[in-house]
Amino acid sequence: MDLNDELLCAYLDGELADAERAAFESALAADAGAQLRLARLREADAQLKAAYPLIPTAENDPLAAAILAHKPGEPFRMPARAEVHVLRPQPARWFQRPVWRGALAASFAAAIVGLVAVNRGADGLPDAALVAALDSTPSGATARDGSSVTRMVLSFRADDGRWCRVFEQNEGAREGLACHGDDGWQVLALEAGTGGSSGGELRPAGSNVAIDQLMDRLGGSDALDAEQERALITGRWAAKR
Amino acid sequence: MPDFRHELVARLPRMRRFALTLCRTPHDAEDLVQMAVERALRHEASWEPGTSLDSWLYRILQNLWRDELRAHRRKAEPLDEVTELMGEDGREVTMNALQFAEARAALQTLPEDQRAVLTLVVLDGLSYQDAATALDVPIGTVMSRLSRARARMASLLGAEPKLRKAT
Repeated sequence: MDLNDELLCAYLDGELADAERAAFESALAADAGAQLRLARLREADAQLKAAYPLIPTAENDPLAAAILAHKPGEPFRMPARAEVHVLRPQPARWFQRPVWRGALAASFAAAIVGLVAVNRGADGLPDAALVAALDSTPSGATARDGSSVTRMVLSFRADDGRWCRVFEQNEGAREGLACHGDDGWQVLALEAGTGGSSGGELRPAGSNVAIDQLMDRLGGSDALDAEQERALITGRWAAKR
Repeated sequence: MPDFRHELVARLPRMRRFALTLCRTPHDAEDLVQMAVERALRHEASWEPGTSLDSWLYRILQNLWRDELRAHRRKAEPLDEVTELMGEDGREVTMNALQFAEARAALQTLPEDQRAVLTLVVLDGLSYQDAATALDVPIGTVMSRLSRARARMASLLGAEPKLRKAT
């Protein structure tokens, strides 16, 4: 029996009839190479599943509400794009729980941020350490200033022409987004990350829902590459497009 | 027909996940899901109750993506680039985040046909026959695309599997 990939897949997916399966398992027992191959395919499946969990629809999901409100024969009224909340799935955690966006998540995040010293003034202006990081630290690198640790995640240009940067502070305890306007950097969002070193596990950067939504609203370009960023850092982020 | 609408809402998580694998970015995926919902509601009468609503919806999603949106799609998420930039010192702590991002990045390197089959069979657990119906291809095509997709994922992810005895 040729234990090719199609057969291994059919076995993995429970598509073999009883007799076929018995014959397959017999052949497999004698074929260490095929056993290893099967195990690799299974492992790849597991990683894929972990990367794409099913996200429950939130109670206040605008699209669900629009569907339920729809009357047959009428044109479907889509929720305004700015209102649409796209939940970015989280990596598998040892405790699975649905992550709700909207008011509940925001108030929770606000409560957490309140507990943590926020290094920005009441008017959204970043302090000197953050400004230095925003000005000069390339994405992917980390700036340390005393006890403040800021990791720059990515930069992009918003629809209105401003340069914006996403960053993480204190090992993911906070995630933020700042844009460079005429008066310099302004912090537009500073949210509790759900990373942090507590579980020894970091979530992918930029995975905070509020930051995602803000990035959506700001629109604009894809993340800048290293070369584009270097040019902007050299020019102190003053270049307009 | 309130039942149809409730059924549709119940399918949103799967639609969103399928759209995400097709479109790469959450923004495009949500656009696609909205367009598919609009089309599904408009063509409600053409769905035969008793047949698989999932297959019908997957077909709408895939056809819409092909016909209307693919040309306008955005590039891959910056997430891929972020993980490449993660420094040596961060490696141990960020393994889980990396694996997550790598699995997603790996899937996105697959041709769309293979991504669709992988999503339906591995993520959604559809039978080969149901996947064939949903994608409007012969079952043999499902099998060949699936095995190529899995082979590629295994090679890209290169994870050391936990070897078990065949049962």
